[in-house]
Amino acid sequence: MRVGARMMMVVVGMAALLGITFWRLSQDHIEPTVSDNTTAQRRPLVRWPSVETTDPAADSPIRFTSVGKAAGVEFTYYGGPSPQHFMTEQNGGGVALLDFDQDGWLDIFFTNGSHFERPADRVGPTASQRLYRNVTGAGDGDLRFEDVTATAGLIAFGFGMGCAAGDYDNDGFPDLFVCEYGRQRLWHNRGDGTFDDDTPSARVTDSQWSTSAAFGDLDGDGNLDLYVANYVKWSPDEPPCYTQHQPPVHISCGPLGRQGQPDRLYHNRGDGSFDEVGESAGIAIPHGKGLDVVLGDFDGDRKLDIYVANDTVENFLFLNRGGMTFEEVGVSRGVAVSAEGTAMSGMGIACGDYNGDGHFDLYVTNFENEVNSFFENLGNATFRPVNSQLGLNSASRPMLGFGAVLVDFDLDHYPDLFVANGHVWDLRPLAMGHAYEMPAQILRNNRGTRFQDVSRTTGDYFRQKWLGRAVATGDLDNDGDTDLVVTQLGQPHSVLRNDSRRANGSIRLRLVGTTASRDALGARVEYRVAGHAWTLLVPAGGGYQASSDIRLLLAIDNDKTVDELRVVWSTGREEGRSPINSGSETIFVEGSNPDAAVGEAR
Amino acid sequence: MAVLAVLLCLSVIGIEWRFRSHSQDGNSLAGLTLAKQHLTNGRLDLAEVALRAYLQRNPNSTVALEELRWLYFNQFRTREIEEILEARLVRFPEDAATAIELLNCEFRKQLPREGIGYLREVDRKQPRQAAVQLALGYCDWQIGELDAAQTAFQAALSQRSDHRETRYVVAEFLLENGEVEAANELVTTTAEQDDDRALFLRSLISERQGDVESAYQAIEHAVSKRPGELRYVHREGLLLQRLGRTGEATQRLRRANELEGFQSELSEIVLRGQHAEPTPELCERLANLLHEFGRDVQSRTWRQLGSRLTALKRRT
Repeated sequence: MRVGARMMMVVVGMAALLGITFWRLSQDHIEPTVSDNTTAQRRPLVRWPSVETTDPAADSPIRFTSVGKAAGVEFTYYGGPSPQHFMTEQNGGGVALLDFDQDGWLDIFFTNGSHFERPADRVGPTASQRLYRNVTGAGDGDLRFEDVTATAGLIAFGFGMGCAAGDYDNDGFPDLFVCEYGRQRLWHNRGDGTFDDDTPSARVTDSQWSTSAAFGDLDGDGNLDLYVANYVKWSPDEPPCYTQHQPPVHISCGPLGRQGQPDRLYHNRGDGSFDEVGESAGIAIPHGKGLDVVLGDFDGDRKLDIYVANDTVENFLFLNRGGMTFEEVGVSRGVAVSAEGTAMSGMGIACGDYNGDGHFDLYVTNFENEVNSFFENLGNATFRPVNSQLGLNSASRPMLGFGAVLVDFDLDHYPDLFVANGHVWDLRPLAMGHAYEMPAQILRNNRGTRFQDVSRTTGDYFRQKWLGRAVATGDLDNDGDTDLVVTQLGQPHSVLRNDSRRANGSIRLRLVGTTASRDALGARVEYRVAGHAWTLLVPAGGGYQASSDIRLLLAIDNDKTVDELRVVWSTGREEGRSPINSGSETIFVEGSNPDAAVGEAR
Repeated sequence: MAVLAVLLCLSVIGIEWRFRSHSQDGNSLAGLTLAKQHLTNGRLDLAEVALRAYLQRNPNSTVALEELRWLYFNQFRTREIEEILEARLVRFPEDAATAIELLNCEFRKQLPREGIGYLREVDRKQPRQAAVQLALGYCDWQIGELDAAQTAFQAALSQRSDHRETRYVVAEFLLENGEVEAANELVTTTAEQDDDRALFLRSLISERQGDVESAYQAIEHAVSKRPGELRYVHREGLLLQRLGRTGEATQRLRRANELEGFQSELSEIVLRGQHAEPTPELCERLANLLHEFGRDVQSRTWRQLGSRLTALKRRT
């Protein structure tokens, strides 16, 4: 949050200056004349951007309806923002979309926070983390959830941040990992609707400030490993932070000048426990201030790489060199800093193939007055910043972005952007026009050439302002498009049902690994329709402190078939299948088509 | 601390003394008074002209310099502030106050959201000033008010179509809005083809036009002009990468990363206000950091200041 911090320092001088200047302006008015000391001969003026006769947003098919309350999801993160402005209050809560009971309907898990003076465990169950079971299937079709936290054995308290869902023991039921300030917990799904806290026995205990995590089979042994991003050293005993205004404004402290905490990498031993291998793997970089992590194969070598968004220091790209070792190459691959070369306040990461070239690109949200970064993958994990040419700068510069996802909302094959925004400091008392709550944004992908901000016509939710934080994606109502769950501070979290006009139908694809990890997190899926190949990534991290649906939606005309489908499993094995007829859901079990293996295992 | 305060006072008093003894005359004072009157009335264009004229005749005037610095600060004209202060530092290499101000102007910049209120007020009282329109356009652009930005930029450009700063800012705005040809028109007609900012813009435009080789040549030229400019060096690395010159690209990107580290360190020093109360060690560190950016004039001043502080320390 370097720029934000810079801003704070600047304001003092400005306040004094403006006072003087306004006083000066109160003097007598003089008739204006045009200064022409620099004017030379007139030249033809430039061609200006054409004034939009048609509002691009008006033509947008993307619509979302906020249905959280009606669906029975009324949950507000506990513990912040409070008058004490503890640093832990900035991050907000995380969200995971997982089918914990394997009934075919996606459930919602929220982490919850605490407060140093009014700890959550003294408040009671309302301040616990929360699990909502999706009971839509038993009803009239409208989205419906019920709170099953207590029966699931998930009543627990702490400074919850992000979370990750993944079936680490390959028993068919997704487990949960919860990041917290000062602690982290692994909740093992017993398969009977309940969870156990297996943190000590799984040997994933740590006391750092963990923020986001991602499961993924990083060594191709068929077991999900776990990457945990850690933030900074901070203690509630430290002095409070203020702006330099007179009178000063009390704010939560930022990461500048604080020591970062190295991330952790837990290698899954396959017996329900993990070894922490961060040092030997080469990912434990001491100055990292991680806020989000995404796993994906960025260099096309069929091994999962790791990308980490750091706050005020450069982002990390760890290329997988095999044998659970990684090489950090963010700087030399052009994906560590902004287009201007400066380290940004990296918050959330969105990952996807925005232009259909078969490579996974990265979008990173940053602080207010910084622009969000869009890094186009040129093919071998070499990136170039394209946020300006994609028309994304103007939309992001006034915003402080957090969770972001790159998902095809209208099924036109080109993934669109959703960005949750909201400041960490309430500077409104300064009366200088600073926004605190901010609107979320939808930026529609115009066939891989530019993005257009269509938020205005996307629904009431986008006309309101929020302290937006995490965002997870998933087809909550199993209707074939991608819905959203967004966490916010100070207001109930939001469930956004996708009501977009669709360019195509879709096939929901679920991958089940057999020799590969059962949950194919981070797997690359390529499908060919009408001669064109499209590439998708099974989400593993991203969205800022979030965990999304691992089922994929393949856009396809209702009367067409997928000519060919190729999956790169976590073992490195590539497997194909063809054709696939359009329908609601296809389950692709690894090895179920023995003749279809088309690639080498690594 | 006390030692530095003495040094700073001596520095400023010395300059004022020179100013009073050599330059002050009735006409000059009238010029400064007029400039201040223009500032009071919101006539920033006339104030700028008057202050520049006054400084031409009275190069030692700290009062006029301070007024001009704030005037540019409010209009987001960082490069011009730097040029003026650096020129002063050349003239007075031991002027610690100017060295401090130079760091302030680089790392304590005006924020568009906070600066726009003042500019709007000026524009309300004294409409159609080209420089104010340019600054307003810039602020509106930065806070996402694109229609207002375009209107202000049009006004600025229609009044001063050959004004270099105006063309650069508007060209960048146009590029961001996908108007590559319009941006190109502004940059190619710029008289100062050798200006590093024009070269940077040309590099951006060439890349958008798909001509990576030309984009690289332009940025390489810009780097030769300002080898310590982080965004130029970083861009050079990115373009080398696209040209397949991986080894050179890695080297440039690492150099950019090094510069980023130095810049972060400088930024933190300035934001914490440490540069205004330096120790001999900090002076030395600042001198070294500034040298990395090619700011040798500033570097020399900080090194000298460090030596003076050390000598004073020894004596006391």
